[in-house]
Amino acid sequence: MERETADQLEALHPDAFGWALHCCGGDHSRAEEVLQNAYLKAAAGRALFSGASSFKTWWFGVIRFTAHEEFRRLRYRESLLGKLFNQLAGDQHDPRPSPARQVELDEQTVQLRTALAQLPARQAEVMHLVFYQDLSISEAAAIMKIGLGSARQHYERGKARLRSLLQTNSAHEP
Amino acid sequence: MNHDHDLREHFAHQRRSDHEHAPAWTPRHLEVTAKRAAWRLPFWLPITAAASVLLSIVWLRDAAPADDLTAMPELFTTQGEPLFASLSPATPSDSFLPIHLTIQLP
Repeated sequence: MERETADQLEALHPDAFGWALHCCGGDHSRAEEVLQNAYLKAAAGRALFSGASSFKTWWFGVIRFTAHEEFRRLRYRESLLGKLFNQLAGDQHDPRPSPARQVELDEQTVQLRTALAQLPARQAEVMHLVFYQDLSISEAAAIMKIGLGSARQHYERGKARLRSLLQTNSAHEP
Repeated sequence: MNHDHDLREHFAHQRRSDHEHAPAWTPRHLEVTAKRAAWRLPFWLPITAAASVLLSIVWLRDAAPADDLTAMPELFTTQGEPLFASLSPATPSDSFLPIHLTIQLP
């Protein structure tokens, strides 16, 4: 891998972890695994930056795709056939995060995660990419592989719904 | 975007929290570790194997040899007699027919 690409990946590492965390529904161990798999794709040349978009947009697209792959793999593992084959192949996997990796989250973060989890997936994604990653709506649309108009719609609806959910949650707090 | 300040504040807080707990960057992230390189059973393999076994069973059952024909009962037997042997050539089949219309058997 070129030195320049490695430097760019290093610079994006904390935000990339945040995005992987979002794609994995806040599961730290899965997010680490997804990010590691995405790095391996880049290192092995299975994901190549063509320069058609910004580096960050491309890299976040790779992470998103890898997270979806991981989700499918997890779903297969949880299926009956998968469990049987994992037993035969001796490939045991504990989906629970190890106690060492469990992170104590503060109340505000938990509140935001809970509210985001209640949004439709696309709306939550666009909210994260625009507000957390500070990307434009068109960049978010490129990562999510949807049209700009559709992304705008998800953005407007998501914003209104998220604001209302956050207000409701804070009103219910003692 | 000023009116989105409340949402930005929430996300900025989450971002700080995530960055604090993010795994540290190491060059090992870009190395293919032994664990990753280890052979893993692809998920499609069991399905393909099961389908192959099923197809083989069906094919083998269809390709089984038919029963021996000699063992079947004989339905038609030939007598080995000449055609119209039971009919007398002298007597016409219809006595009312004029003689020139009566078929003469060889």
